Amino acid sequence: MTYMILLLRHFLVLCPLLALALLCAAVSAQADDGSGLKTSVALDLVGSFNSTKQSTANDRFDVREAEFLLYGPIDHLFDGMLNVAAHNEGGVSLFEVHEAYIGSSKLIPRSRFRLGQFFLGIGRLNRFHRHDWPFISAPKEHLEFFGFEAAIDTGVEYSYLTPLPFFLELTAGVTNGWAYGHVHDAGQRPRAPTHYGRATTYVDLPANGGAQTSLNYLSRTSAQGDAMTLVGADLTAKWREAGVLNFLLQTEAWQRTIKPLIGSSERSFGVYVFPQFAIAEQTQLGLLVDYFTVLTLKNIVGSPIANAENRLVPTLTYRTSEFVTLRLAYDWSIAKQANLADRKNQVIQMQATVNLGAHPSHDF
Amino acid sequence: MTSNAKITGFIPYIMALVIPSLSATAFAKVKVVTTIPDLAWVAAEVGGDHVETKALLRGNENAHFVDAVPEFTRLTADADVVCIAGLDLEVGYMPAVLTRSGNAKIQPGGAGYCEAGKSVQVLEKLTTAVDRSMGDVHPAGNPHFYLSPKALADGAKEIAAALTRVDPAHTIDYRKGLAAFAVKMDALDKEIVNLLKPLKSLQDKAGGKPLLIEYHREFSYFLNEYGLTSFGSIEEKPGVPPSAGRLGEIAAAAKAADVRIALAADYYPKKTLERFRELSGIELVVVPTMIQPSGSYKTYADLQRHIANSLVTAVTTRSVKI
Repeated sequence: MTYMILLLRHFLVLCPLLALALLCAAVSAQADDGSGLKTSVALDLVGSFNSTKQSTANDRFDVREAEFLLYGPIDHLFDGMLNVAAHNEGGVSLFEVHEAYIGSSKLIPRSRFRLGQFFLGIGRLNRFHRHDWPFISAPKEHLEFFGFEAAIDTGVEYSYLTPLPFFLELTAGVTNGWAYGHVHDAGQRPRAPTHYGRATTYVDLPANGGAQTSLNYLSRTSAQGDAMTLVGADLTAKWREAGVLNFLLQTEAWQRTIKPLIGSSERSFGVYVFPQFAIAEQTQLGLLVDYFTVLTLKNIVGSPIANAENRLVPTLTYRTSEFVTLRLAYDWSIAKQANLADRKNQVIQMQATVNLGAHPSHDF
Repeated sequence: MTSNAKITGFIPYIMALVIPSLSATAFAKVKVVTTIPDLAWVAAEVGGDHVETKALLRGNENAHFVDAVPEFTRLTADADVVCIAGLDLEVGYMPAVLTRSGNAKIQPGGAGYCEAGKSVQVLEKLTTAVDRSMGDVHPAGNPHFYLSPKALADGAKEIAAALTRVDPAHTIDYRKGLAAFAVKMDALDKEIVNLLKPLKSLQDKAGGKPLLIEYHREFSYFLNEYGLTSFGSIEEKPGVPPSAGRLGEIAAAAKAADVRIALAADYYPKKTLERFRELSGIELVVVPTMIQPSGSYKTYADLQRHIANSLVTAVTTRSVKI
């Protein structure tokens, strides 16, 4: 019976995947018709295995995500993108539209916008698909504040490149906000939709290096009147030589405040830092250092409770080319809370990501 | 004061704002942004005083693998003309840079967009089906044409055409600039032919057998221009670092074929090149492949002379410093 359910589950996922694969093949065959439509497929395979008895790893190697991407110019002014993905959520495979939008950088000088469903353009990790991240799984604050991959919603986002003698791009977006994060229900009409802003600047660094820094803000008030505000900063610095990323430093710090209609506010803070060095032409070694705390955690008499979650994830990355990435990581974490026993977790993780077909050029 | 009087009262102020901006437009230089510094130099040669140029790359990068850094976006947002080498050399980053710039005129198909490679007689164009198992191949052909003065002169036609489209008032000047540039490249070509004579005659004495091997096939246009032949590349597949096995095999094969020089761009891994030298005993010649505005080879002629002299020195003294 269990096998029958499993088979049915796989069948339900595989049917649309096969249909889409056939569609992609058909689109690919039509790609030379002058329309400029491009197709690509990204596979993200992840395994997590116990290293101790207390580990929460599921001891299996799975397809975490299979993503299909269609993009290209729609006409002389607009571009379009469709991204559909089958992904594993808590052991259940779900097939859904991740992004579907039109956009243009040709209508308003120094501006670009997109209209539709997309990953909200804030922070660092939230703007990238998980298979393009430099490590395997999300830092705790990203998981808590944005979801396992990204906060997705439907709306409009506008970016303006200021006419200054240095790079300063301002982004603002408004989306439905009926739901927030990565959820699979329609949600409810919010009291204030999700709205966000981002200011990004960039500086060249010596020896072919560069650093991008951003300040971010997001807010939404749910149907129940819970007002959520996120403020954060991110920094990405890279030193590249002859195609080899010699050094990468990626970090984000976020604070979330939730003010319910009734009761006291909750504030949480999280930061991660990920330095990564090239130890050979195709091999990099990085260390994810992650810290998360609920700042307003209190006991029954209202006294603050010290709490923190710390995580260290040394990660070895090997790339045969820009289209294939293999990773091995040791994920160690400890959750501490006053008057409670520490919760430790140790997991061995592995990942293989591949990109087939066209691959859009990357942002910095 | 009547409404008419109010309006006429503003006229001097409006004139004061409009006239300087009109005159600024009339005398404004065409802003040309190029990917590689060599194309910026070409644009300055062709456009003369009518243009101001800026290269996105510094000349010491591998032009295949560059990030779409935000500074590129800022520079292209202000550009009147964006000129790339094309032939897929910059395919990994320029589409993102152009899209993010929000500048309609420099998007592909726009008046200010130019691909210099379009006017070049392309080498190594593939006629068979291409896929990624073949490495980082360029179906449209080898994009490193800028290492040949004559091919660069061909590419300059695209730059002149783009300048003419965005600044038709100076069409005659751009035509003159292009013609003068072709003459200059012809003279440089002859000079480099003379410089390379010792190497060429050695190759002729060897019955035309190749005396050099490349790390990556980016000197094809240079070698083709001066009648030199290549044994092939140390890379087994373009863009894929050679394995230890490949290094051993190609080192043995090159040594057996009496190859004298291993020619590589200065951004390739020195350890791999050193290993090849150890295995084969073949001299390394490591040179820049682009003008380096803040480095030692600031002009195209300097760069060409340096490559030619390095090759000749290597075969005559068998000792060239990296």
